[in-house]
Amino acid sequence: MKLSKVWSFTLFTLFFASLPTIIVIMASFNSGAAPKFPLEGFSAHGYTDLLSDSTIRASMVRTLLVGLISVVISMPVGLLASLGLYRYRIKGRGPIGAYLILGFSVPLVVSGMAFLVLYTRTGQMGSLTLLAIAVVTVNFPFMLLSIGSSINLLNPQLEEASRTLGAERIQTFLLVTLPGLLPGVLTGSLLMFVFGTTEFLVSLILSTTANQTLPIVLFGGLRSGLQTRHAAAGGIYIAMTVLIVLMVTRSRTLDQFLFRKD
Amino acid sequence: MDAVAYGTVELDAGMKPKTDVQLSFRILDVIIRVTRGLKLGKKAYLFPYILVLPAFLLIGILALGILLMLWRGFHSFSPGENSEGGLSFDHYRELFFGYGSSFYLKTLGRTILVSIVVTLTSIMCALPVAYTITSTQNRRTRRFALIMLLVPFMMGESVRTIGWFLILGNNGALSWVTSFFGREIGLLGSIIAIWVGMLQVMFPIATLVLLPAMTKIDRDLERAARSMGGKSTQVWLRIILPLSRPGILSALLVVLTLSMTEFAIPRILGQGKHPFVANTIQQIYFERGNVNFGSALSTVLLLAVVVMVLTIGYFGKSRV
Repeated sequence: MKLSKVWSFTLFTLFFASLPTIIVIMASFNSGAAPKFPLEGFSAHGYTDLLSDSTIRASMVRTLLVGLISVVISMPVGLLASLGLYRYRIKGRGPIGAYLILGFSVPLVVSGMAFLVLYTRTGQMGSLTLLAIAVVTVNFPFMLLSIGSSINLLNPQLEEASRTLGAERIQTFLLVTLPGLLPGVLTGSLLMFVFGTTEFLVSLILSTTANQTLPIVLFGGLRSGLQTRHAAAGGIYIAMTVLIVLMVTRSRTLDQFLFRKD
Repeated sequence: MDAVAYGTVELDAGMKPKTDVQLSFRILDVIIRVTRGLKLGKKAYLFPYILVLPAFLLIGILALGILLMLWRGFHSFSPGENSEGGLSFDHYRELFFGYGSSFYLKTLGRTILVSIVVTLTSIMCALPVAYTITSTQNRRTRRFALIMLLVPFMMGESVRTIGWFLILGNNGALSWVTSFFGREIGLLGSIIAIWVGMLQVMFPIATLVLLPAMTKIDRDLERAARSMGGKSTQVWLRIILPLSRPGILSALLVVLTLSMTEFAIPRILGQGKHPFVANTIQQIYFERGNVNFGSALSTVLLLAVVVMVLTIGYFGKSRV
């Protein structure tokens, strides 16, 4: 009886958390030019408008690029760092680990200002690559922690077996350790992609007209008057996020991290 | 060339994986020989540092930016000429004692206060949710709950804000629903709207942070308490809450840090009437073009967060 009270509260809060998601999806299919309630009718014109709007199209391409650059940079760097940090004996693991997750501990607006100051000094504002590097740096902990929890899942006996059977260290690493880390690398990459494509505050501070990503364009829509196509862009974001969340929750890495008992 | 390299191995489609492995072994041989030649064994203790180095450099960009930002906050700046002056405390003087100082201090106070309220309410919502998720052994239920928590958190600040704008704004879902009851409620531009919008994203995060601590609680303790007549409130106050303390502490730290830097929700749902520090920083940079003054305010925000984190850490430890 008491448990069911907690359960109904949980269901209610989960519904509350999904409220904006549901509303954006509903509004994205509104037949009117602007998303408003009551909805005027069902139409997918928001989604077709999306593709004919050159500003949104260009920003979508940039957003995808930022997501891909995030993955491409953070994957090798994060793999090496998490190996050095969690797999081998390293002095100063605590401070180094704390330094590597600087992007989480510093408020995002401060990170944004830090990059702004740096990029204006070097005179490279408006570069999409530099914006992507800023986004990677801020989101880097997602990759580090994903692979880190995968390293904790490794069975050390497998590596020992490989060694005793005569494999060189590097062979053991490439053929035994690395495949074991694959789920963590995959989870980390998916997270880096999704947080790279949705990154807002740092991108906003670093944005010029030349490197606006989709979240910035949507924010501009919120300020100047929301159109159904903006809600449709939100709908695409939601579809992508749901897909990636479905993939991430399938792997054991996330469960291992969230329900860890160490 | 392939035929020479692999001797008698014939390269048809079925053999491809095998030759790949052989190729990788050839590369391995080279690597092994090189590493032996370098005699890295003696310097093996350096190896993990070399692995960490690229990440160290990557984060170094941010660290460098922060240092430069701190430096610029202490240097005067004239936006018109875009030139930098010498060392000065002008920006901090303006922030705390200048003409507009009451506005800046009020913004900082509002940011801290609303963040604390959001943090506490998020944790109050998150505790039962984390409890139910860790109570169930059903993997499907768990996964369903995780998906419901992760999607709103991962779909991005701008999309979330669009959602809340469409709920709370004019012609929004809320005013439409309440119009059936004869009264149109519009929350846009109020602190309540900011609180609701922030709570919706912060409590899933708090829940995710609470999960490890909740997992570790031995459910037999709870059963024992109930079998001896403990009421639900007693079980919560005496068993679940004390045992999930480390999780609550981490949730406090994470949610507070994230709330303090909130930007889109105060700007859109608060209609700019209740700006947070992040809004003011952006405004200073975009409208006045004064990077140094923005840096000074960022430094103040950073300091405020550090002080709050240290305070929570101190009180968190002292009572163990």
